[in-house]
Amino acid sequence: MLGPNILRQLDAFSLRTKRAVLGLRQGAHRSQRRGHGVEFSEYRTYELGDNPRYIDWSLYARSDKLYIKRYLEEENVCLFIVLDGSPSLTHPELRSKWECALTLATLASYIALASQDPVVLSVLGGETTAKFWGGRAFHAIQAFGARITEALPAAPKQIDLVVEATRSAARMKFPGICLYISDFLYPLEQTAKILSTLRSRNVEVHAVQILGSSDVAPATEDDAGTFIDSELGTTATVHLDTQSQAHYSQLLADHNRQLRDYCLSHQVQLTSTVVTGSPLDGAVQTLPRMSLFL
Amino acid sequence: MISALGYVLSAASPYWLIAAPVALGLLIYIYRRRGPTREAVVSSLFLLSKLPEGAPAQKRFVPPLQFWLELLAFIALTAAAAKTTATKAGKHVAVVIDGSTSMLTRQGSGERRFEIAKTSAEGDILASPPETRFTVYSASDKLTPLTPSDPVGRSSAEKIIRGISPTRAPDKLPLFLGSLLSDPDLDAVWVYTDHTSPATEPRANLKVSSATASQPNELSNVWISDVRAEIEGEVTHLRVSLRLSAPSEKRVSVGGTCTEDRSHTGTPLPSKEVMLQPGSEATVQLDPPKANWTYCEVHTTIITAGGQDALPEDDIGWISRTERSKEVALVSALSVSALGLDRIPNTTVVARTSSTTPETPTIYHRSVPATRPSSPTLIVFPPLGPLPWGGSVHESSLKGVPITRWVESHPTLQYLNMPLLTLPSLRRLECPPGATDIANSPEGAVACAGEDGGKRYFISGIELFPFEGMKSPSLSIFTLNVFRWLFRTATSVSDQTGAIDPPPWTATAELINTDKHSIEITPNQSVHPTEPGIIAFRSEDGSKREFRTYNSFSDEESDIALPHELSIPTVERTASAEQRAATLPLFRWLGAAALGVLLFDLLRRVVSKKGWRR
Repeated sequence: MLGPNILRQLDAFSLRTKRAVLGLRQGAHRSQRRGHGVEFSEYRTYELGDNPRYIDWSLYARSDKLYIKRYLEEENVCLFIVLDGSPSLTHPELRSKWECALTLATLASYIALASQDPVVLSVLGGETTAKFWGGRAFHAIQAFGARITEALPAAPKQIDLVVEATRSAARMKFPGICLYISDFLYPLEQTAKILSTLRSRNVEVHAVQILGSSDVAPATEDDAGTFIDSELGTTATVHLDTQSQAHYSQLLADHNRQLRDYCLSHQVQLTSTVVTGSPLDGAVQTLPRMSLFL
Repeated sequence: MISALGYVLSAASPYWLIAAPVALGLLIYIYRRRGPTREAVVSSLFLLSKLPEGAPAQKRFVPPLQFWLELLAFIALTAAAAKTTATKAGKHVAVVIDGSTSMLTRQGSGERRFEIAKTSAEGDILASPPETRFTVYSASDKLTPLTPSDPVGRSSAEKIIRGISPTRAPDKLPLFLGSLLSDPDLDAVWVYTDHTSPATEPRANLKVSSATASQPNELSNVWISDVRAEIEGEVTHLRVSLRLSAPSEKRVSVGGTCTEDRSHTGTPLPSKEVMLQPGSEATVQLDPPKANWTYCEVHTTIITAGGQDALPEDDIGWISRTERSKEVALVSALSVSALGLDRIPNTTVVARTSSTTPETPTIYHRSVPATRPSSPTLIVFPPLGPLPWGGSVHESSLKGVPITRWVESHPTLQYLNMPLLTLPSLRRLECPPGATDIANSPEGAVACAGEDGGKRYFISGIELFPFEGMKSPSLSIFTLNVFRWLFRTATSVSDQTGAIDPPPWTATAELINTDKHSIEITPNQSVHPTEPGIIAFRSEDGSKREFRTYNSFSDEESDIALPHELSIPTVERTASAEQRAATLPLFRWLGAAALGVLLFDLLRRVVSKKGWRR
């Protein structure tokens, strides 16, 4: 799936956290814990029970007081990837969006796993959550992605994303980074609920909006057409002349602006991309624009 | 009727065209009822549903591709049903320039008839309507179209006419006129010739312009109508036939040059003068000084003062001599080389089986033909038994017998001293009825010579060929005499021909004419010379050569006083032919186009996996 050139690009990336997190194991990210790292953190007055080996004897010689040297702990961080599995991404005619989202999740997983960070992948509506950790986990993620793609329903299926997001957030047992990938083509209130649910688990939320070419321009010519909602199956007959198409573009721009404003105000990093070419190219081009990776 | 792109469109049944707007209205109605044809799945109608009201699907009729395809098919079908035809605007005229030899005649003004005809044609073309299209032909012994397959406009036709050159071929214009007048593609035929217009009313679509501006009987022309060679042994006589067309008698001189090909030296012949009466014919004999000439050029000139030749191109004649080897068949158990027959001069001996019908002169060695001789036949040392047309062969008991009696006057015994000839073995012959026993031994006839059904035969009881060690000169002379008497391998003079087939061994061919410039001609193909002269064929190694003559003698072309009234063939053009000429049956193509459009639409739907309705 991934060629040598792409892997070489991915090796240059590393997961970046904006704040200190509590990890499970020794890792490469600054932890909230103080302990036995290499970077000095602070002095603390010696208390009964402290290990005398951590007493700074040179400071005791100067001040005649006992102090303990404390160091910054470095731990790993868990990457929670939440994929919007609603038909607006997984519908057969819109499949390029889903493929781009899945590829992006795979690439992010590769970067996380390369620095020994665990990855938890869940699909909203897919009723599937899997945790990956270790050297061979990347292949498992690829197999997992293929498996859930095969299991996608062919018929339109309405999903309550808020409920699904709540269910998925319940599985986040410890703090980390959450990468939420969706097209965000639903009301802003629903977006707010989803993102709030995710943020409530004390995770650093990054959002990626993936749009297809049909989302940007539903009609390429001055034509009347019947448009079918991929999730609800409802239809609407609309004549998209030049004026209507411009109006639609304005509506989409407004929606995206509101989404961006919300994310900014709620400390959610948002990256938008439009899939025009191959899904892999779309994902590879999106990766550097995300503040999640360094 | 609609004019477009140089065509006039018309319909035989125009009421069918009403179906086109009806079909258009029906299609629009159906497509409006059918509604929008495009279906698309979108991620969400969340944003599309926010579009303001007032942009419903039925607001404006925007037909899809299928609508246009169906409309196109309907229009094509209605046009086909209306029997639409396209007629080329403007007339199609065939311009025929007579390019025969007589058109080279200089008129009183000094201008050739051909130039007068070209000038006249150019004037007529420039005066014609701009949309007129022309096909230009040059007519002599064949009708040569000079324009491309499609007719050309005025300027192109004028350019083509300016570049035409006359030919040296006889005139067959009336023959071509019939086919041109019956051509349904042509609206008119314009002929420019030295023939005069017929006295009868010419056809409406025919215009004849005569290039004979001055009266022909004021002009003088002497021409060579024939050149023949008479070879008597080593002596050759050239007989040149002359004719004169002039108002009064003229004195003309005849001369020439004979050339031997190997030495490339031309020997002038002593010129002779003769007084010619108008319309009369005279033959002048020229004597080449050497017998080994290869080709000769003879010419004639009017020497009477004031008698300028109006057509000097017909004052030259050519004749060539070619050594052609005779082909003789051999029926023998021995090969041609074993018998020494491959070294006989001027004769090619080819081995044959006895079963083949002897159409060529045949040698039967130790065998006899099955039937009477149908070609000159030589029977050498025949087997014992009867001969097919009488006589018989018997064994001789004598050895080394002399010839005791012979017919000295017989050509086969010329230059022979018969007593010197001693024969080691022989067969005694009983000659067929009518044959002469020209040589006899003490036991009987040794050689018989006769003629049966006009075919000569010679029966020899002795071996003529030297394979048995008989290398006596007398026997060789006897053999050659028999060959000459039977097969007559003499030198021949080639005749005037039109198309010339080159010999199979030809590698190069060139035309030798008065100007001494050679023209390369493609070998191994039938050669069509454009100018009179000698065609020299040579093999690759130069060992073989052959000369042929090409003359364009034509009394009709050269006799400028002859009345040339153009005979116009009666050709009827039917109305349907005229209709066919003028129109292009567009309706057939339109029907096919409609079918093609419908098939394309069907294919498009199959490929896009859509149904017929949607």
